[in-house]
Amino acid sequence: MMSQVELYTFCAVILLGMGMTGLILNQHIIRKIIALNIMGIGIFMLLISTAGVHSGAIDPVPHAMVLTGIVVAVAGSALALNLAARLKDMTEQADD
Amino acid sequence: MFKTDDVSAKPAHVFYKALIMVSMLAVTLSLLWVVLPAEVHSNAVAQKITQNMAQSGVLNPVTAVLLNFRSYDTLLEIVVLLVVAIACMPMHRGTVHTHEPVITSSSVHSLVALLVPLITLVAGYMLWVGAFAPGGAFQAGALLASCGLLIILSRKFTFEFHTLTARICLVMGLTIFVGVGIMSQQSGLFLQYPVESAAGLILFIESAATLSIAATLLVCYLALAQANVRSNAPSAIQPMMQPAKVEQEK
Repeated sequence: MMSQVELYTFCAVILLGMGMTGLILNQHIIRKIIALNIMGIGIFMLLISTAGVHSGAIDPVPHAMVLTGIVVAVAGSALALNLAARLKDMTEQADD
Repeated sequence: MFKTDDVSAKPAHVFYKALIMVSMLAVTLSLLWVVLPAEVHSNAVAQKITQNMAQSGVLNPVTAVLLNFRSYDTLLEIVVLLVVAIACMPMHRGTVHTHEPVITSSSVHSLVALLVPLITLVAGYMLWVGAFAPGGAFQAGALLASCGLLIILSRKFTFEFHTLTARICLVMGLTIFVGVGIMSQQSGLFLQYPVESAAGLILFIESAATLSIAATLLVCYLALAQANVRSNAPSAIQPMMQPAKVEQEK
């Protein structure tokens, strides 16, 4: 049987692999951004799963790092989406 | 750039796709092999945090790490947010108008009227509870931003990106964080709050950061909405999900 930490680690790595595959295989830029986000969530889950290694004691540093990371990831995807919208705008103008 | 997945791909493409999938599977499996036997790491840092919790001014260790022990991280994170907001803001004097609300159902409107004060209240609670339990500026900021989105989607509205109020909201978190860091420094160390006033200072910084985070998230969304208004699309998000028309015609 898997322990809770092992289950979390396992799911995190699976998410990471799914995101990575999606990032390479998909050509649509929005799908690429979503895949990048899934990959990031996998990494956050991996970090969180390392926080509770000792039974009872929980390391707050990975929690704080993940909290920071989530906000930066949200900001990064917002920037990526805005760039994608801008790109669409420019390519459409060029095609007209 | 905006190609969709071609269903009738050539055999060579299928071969490459299979190759990529197999290699990704190999990468995932090797990662599992490395990561899964989780070794017990030394909790030296966690022990230090437990020992020094009394100096932090809060009871929640995560908040203590975020805003006291490693407050540089949080400061730089707020800088990242500000940079993203500036990057997303339109170059020219941008204004977003909607002549008709995106959501027109009247039952949704009454739900919004009920939800907006409730979400604001929960955001305030989140901000306050961060000192004792999971919660804090980011959660509260995300809630406030969702509140703003509800209002924007269900009302006619006009938003100007370059008004003084919008700019003050965006930079407030960073200004107050840096200001508190400089004013309250002890023995010449930046962001080293005095122990007795740490709780109040942390709440003060978090309140300002909450507003800035909510404003940044809203500005990012509205910039996207403006990009779509510019390309004469009726809905705010829908057109981006569809492939470009030019590609379809081929």
